[in-house]
Amino acid sequence: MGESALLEEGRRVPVTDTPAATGLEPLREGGIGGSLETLRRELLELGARLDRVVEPSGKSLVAEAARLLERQVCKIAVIGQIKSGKSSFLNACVQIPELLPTDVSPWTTAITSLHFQQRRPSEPAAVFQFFDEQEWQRIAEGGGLLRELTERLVPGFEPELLREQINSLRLRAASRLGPQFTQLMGQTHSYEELCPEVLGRYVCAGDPVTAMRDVESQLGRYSDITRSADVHCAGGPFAFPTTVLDTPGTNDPFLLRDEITRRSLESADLYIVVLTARQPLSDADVALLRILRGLHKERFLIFINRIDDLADISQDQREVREFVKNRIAREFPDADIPIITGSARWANAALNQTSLSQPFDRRSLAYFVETGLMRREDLVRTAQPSSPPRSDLKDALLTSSGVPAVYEAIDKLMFESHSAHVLRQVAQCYAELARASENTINGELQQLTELQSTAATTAKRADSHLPRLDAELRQLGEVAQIIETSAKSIDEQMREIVQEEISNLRQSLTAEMQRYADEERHVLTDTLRRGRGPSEWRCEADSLRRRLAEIFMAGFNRSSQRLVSLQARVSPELYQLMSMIVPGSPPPHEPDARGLPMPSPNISALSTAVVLDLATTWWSAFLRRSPTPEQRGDEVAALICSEFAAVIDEMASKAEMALMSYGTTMSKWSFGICNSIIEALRRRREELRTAYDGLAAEAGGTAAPESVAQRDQDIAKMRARYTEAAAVAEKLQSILPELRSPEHRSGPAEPTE
Amino acid sequence: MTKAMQVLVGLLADARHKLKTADFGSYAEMRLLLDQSLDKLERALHRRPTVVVAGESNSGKTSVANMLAGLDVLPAAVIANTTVPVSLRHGIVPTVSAVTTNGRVPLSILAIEEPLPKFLMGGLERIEVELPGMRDAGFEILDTPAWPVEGLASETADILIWCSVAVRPWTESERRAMIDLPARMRDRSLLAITNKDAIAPAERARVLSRYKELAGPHFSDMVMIDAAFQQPDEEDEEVLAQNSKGDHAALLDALEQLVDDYWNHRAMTGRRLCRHIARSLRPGIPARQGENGTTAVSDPDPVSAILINIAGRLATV
Repeated sequence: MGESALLEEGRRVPVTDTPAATGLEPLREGGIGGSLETLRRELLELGARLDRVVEPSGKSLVAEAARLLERQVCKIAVIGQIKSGKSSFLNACVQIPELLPTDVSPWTTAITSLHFQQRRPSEPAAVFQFFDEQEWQRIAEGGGLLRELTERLVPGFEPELLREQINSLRLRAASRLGPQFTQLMGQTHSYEELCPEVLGRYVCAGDPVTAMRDVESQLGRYSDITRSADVHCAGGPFAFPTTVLDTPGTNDPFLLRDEITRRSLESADLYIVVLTARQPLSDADVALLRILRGLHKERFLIFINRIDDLADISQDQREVREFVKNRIAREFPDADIPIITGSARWANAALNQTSLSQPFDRRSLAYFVETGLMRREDLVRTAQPSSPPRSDLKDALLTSSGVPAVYEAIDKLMFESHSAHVLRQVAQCYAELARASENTINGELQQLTELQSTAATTAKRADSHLPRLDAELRQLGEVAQIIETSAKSIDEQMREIVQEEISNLRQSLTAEMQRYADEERHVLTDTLRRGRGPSEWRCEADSLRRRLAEIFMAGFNRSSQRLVSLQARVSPELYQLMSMIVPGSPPPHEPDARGLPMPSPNISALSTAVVLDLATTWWSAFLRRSPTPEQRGDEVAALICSEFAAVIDEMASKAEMALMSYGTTMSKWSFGICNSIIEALRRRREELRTAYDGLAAEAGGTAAPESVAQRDQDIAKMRARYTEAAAVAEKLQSILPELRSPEHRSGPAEPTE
Repeated sequence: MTKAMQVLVGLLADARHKLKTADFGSYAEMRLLLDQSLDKLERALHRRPTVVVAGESNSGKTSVANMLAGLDVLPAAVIANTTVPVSLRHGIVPTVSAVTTNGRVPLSILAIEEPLPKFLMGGLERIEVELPGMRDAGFEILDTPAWPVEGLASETADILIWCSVAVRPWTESERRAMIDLPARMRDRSLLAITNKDAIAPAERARVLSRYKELAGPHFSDMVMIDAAFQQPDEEDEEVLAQNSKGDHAALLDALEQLVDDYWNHRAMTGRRLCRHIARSLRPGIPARQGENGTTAVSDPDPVSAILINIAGRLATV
């Protein structure tokens, strides 16, 4: 009990309760995702305890769930336009000021994954993976997706720019690595320890060949061929295992990097969109956010960096925040997206002792005084070059940097993440398993006690028990069969529901696309007929994307509701069967649909660039090929359909996968639990039957004293197991409500949309 | 103004003078025609170039426009606040007018700082500000909202200044905006790299080299300036003022090159117009004696002499 009491203690310091004004330290104790991590550890421990009380056939379920728990990692992607300060923000956020290299020109070339709380003893600290021959060929020779798109639109059309870029990429790789650089393809480089210089070699752009400062410079040496970097970091603010992704900026004229970033958007649980205060939410930012719209809207937060660049920090900051808030509200009408202003530079200065002892710029200091974080009379000392590091300056810097607010927001968002969902599923499964074990053990206990009292009587009476036991065994067999067949039929029902829903979804998505294509055909034909040039018309595929996302979300919610209600129908049936064989089972717990929302799949398919996104000049080239307005309209409509058909396909299959995996996991676990109990009961009863047989064999006489003592021991052991199972079940029951997201936890839960 | 232009302007003045002093008598019609042609020439020669200041949102367009005007006329703020194009040009008295779809409405009653009445906003196309201070500028300025601007009359643009923030050196969306511009607009284009002071002096060369590599092909010239976003601290004011004076000069120098180029281009057009006028004059010149071939012209009538003179000079500029 001592250990769980400690855990209990640990949970008393939830991160969200720490006042934001005190800087980073208090968070470090609890850590981001601290409460989720505590729950995860508790579940792991309860799993181990459960493993000791469940039947052997239940052990594999427990182990499977435990493996799931072990594997949980929250992935946070930091994204934004080039030069928004993503890398500096990340350095501040993970509290390692000079980890990722930063520079005045766009600098990050590869996706860098920073792993926290995940390093296994034998793993290297950093692994860099190079493109393999094939990928390189595809990028260097073909120019990746963009080239594909262009080719599809205008066969034979070769964008000069892309070719130039690819040439310079090749040239640079060769000049940095020598002509033999292709030999590195597909390889990995690993390091036992990591320093910023090493990282710089792989993920920094370095200088262009034409302006290389130092021929021997290692900076960016491998950057052209590095596909990904995986770095394990010690420390950091995270309690829950977390991976943070630093991405190359979007809106880079170096088109290939943009493409790399877009591809990485697929897999993260949370997104931090970094904007710069001086150019908040430009059109390029909005374009990026629109891509994210395909993802869960409660899964991202916005950080407005570089408020220290503003002329009047407090006034301008308010204006910028208001502006962003309004624009976000327009783009995402019903979402509550956290918007945080701050400065990574301030946070990094606070984390770096040497910079704290240097004089600080006056505008920032004036702002700290204005907001009451520093006293005016202390400013003089700060300006002295040799003053010792100032703790009040440090606190002011941290508080104003926005980083603590980001921590809080991440901590909250983690409760919505996929990991939290897995924790909920596991807790639910464990709770049911524990409860069922408790009941079976209880039933068995009764039988054993009865047997013990029977033992004192005659063999004749023992004989009379035999037919009853036989009958019970038969019943068990029947129930097991019923469960098996109903499991099959439930499985079929589930498949039917999923198939029906997916085909409905596909139909409504396709109808929307068709409607849009017809509309665009009409608009274009009309524009051309009125004698306007094709450049007057621009296909804004975004409105289609928006509609598709809406339809998808609505459809998916309906489907998941149907599955959950199927689940809700199945549970009582199962329990009814169970109560037939284990009398006195408590009534089934209603599976709480609110507690177990199915996370919808991300629809990053929507963000796939389609030819419709290409620049106007390419469009004109395309449109010139067909002579009449009608033909051009037809071509465009056909193009829209062929482009988006693939997108819709991918969306539908994603939804199908999500629904199927939810359905199969839930039914597998429920039936697994039942089956393991039936199995156990059958085995026990067979044992009992042998025991009675033994009793009968001790014809006429009384039972041997040693077998009585043996049975007494068995009963005592079983009692202990019963108590343990009951304790575990109790504990799990108390954990379940804590796993609900904070909004759901407080007050009566509202029905979800 | 360039030499070529000065020649043309001189020529024009000379022709005017000759026309004024001569007695055309029965050739009044001829004179009217010539007058009209010369008017046309004059208009073509004297149109000041329009400098369009463009760029993405919050790239310092308004600050650059103010810098060019040499006055802090337009309000610059942290959130992009220019929502309609504003043109700044020379006028004898300061006036502000709204150009709407229904014509030009002078707003003489309103102060510049006041918000515009709502009724104007509907069909508002641009605001025109006339300032005495713009007399020596040699160009008109058109400050635009964030690019791309819907329906902005690009034919009025003679010189383009594209503003880009040094802290975010050249983006894909900027590149696209540039390549989508009509080629005519890109002929004389200046890249103004603003917010120079946010970059440490040692790093500026590298930022500039990135611009040269990626944006260079799109522009005639580029200049790095600190279009003041930041209110200077009191003590630094002098230093900053000097600094921005340097930037101001650099910007104006770069612009002057383009303005010269503009005038050269104008001069070319002017010369073409001259030759055209000369050609159209010849058939009407009343010197028919020579045509008959009877006698050599000993004493051509004065009007003919003037016209021949003018046509000759126009044809050979």
